[in-house]
Amino acid sequence: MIGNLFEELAWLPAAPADFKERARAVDGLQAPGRELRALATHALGTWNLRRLADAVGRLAASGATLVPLIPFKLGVLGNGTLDLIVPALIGSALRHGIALQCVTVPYGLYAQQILDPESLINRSKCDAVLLVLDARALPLQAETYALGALEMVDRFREALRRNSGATCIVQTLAAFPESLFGSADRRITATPRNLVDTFNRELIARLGGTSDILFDVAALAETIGLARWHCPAQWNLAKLPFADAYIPLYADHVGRLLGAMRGKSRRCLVLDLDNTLWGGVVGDDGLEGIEIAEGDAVGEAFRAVQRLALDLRRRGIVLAVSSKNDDAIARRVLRDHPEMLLRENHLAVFQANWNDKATNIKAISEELSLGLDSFVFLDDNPAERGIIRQMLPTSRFLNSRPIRLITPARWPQPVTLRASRSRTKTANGPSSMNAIPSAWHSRTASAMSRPIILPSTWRFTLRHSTKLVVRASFSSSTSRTSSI
Amino acid sequence: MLTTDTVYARLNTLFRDVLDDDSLVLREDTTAKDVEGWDSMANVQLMLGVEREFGVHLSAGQMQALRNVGDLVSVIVKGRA
Repeated sequence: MIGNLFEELAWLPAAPADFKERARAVDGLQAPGRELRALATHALGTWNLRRLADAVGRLAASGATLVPLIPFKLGVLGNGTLDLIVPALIGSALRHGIALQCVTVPYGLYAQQILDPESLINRSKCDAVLLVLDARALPLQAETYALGALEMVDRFREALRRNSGATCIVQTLAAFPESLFGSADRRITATPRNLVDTFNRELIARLGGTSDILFDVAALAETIGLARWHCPAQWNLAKLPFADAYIPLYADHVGRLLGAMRGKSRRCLVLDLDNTLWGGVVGDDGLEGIEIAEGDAVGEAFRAVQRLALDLRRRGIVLAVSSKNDDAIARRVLRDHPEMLLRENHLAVFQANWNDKATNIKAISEELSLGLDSFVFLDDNPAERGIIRQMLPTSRFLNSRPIRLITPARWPQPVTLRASRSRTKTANGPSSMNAIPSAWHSRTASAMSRPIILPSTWRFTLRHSTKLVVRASFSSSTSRTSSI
Repeated sequence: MLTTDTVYARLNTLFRDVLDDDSLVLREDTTAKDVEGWDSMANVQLMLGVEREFGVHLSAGQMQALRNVGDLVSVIVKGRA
């Protein structure tokens, strides 16, 4: 099930039946950019991503405007076959508001291209260059203790910057699952495992303080499982750098990076209450009847959701509540229930009423001065999610059914705090805002002074209810804990 | 048991997706030379697509021995027997 989640991008809605036709029809639209992004905001496999990439190519060739998508020119270089990855990158970038153009070079020539100032890649003046280098390309030798590999990457980064000014997006290495000594691989300096660990650790350190960007492919591969991520048969067949099943996932993560580089990161998590932050419906079950108790299987699942929300808040994400509930009854839970982790003071907006969703969301948007594109919604009710999706075709959701797998949230990384001034509230915002967390103030204040790109890897999953854990036949996927 | 008819039907869908040609109809003697766009990269995608669609594994040796679509269908049916 974990595998399917990441292979099928199961947190996104299924592609509509008429996807093919709609992808072909974009050429005739007045505002193809919006439709492309709406189409991209579905769980898309290789063929559909390629259809979108073809559409982008046709529109670009005809000179059509793709507003409001942001154009981005990405060089894509690597030691493996990248032909299958490039269309997926273009299709997935649409999901994150980016109209991507990729520049590629003939197979095997990445080093020459980087180092030659007159090469295609350098003359193209890309906004960024993605280095799809894996452990097979780099001289990871025991003698040099990964230093040779690190210096090679440093030289590449330096050459690209000098020759074209491009920002480099550099990947950590996914270790191969085969081991020589078992656990001792980690300790013994000559083993592939140890070399990869050393390389990754040093790479992260060397990227710090530069404007080049870390893409933590190691973390992505580990989330899938190294044994699934790597596919020696596909490397032997066609030099495919990792299992083709994960191309859509990989491409989505690159899209997140590009979106974050262009200020498209989501900033606010809007939480439903009943069966989202606690089990049950407080209006029916009362304060005593809702399930939020520590030590209770269902309660623990919801506590994990609350803990995650608080962790997100600590890193600067704004929390809001929007729920169909009586205001007093709902507030009482946040004020008086002893087992609640989330409290009123954690929330920038608390909305419990019986108004329609559209009115409510617009009100939150105005209250926080955040565009509708800034929100992620957590709601157990598919009908509610459907309504919001209708309103905002590019909105993001977390399905919070506690006895099913809780999907990972999709905060693009790195976080770019270079927000447009009209959209970011400073500390001197209107006093009607409820209890804005201080972390938010300091972030917006610093955002106003200079752009900050934090090359942090953000990954977390949520704990299942123990019911699911016990029933799971693939016990390796149990007990996922939230982590920053 | 997978019948050859079902295999052809599903292969047609796969080939049409990969080669972006809705009019394509596969025959037993169809080869890459007969189909526009069926180059080595498309071939890789077709082989990977077959593995995923039919839940079979094609070894490098098996792939290299294929002469036409008929051979591919046989391999799939045998792989799923």
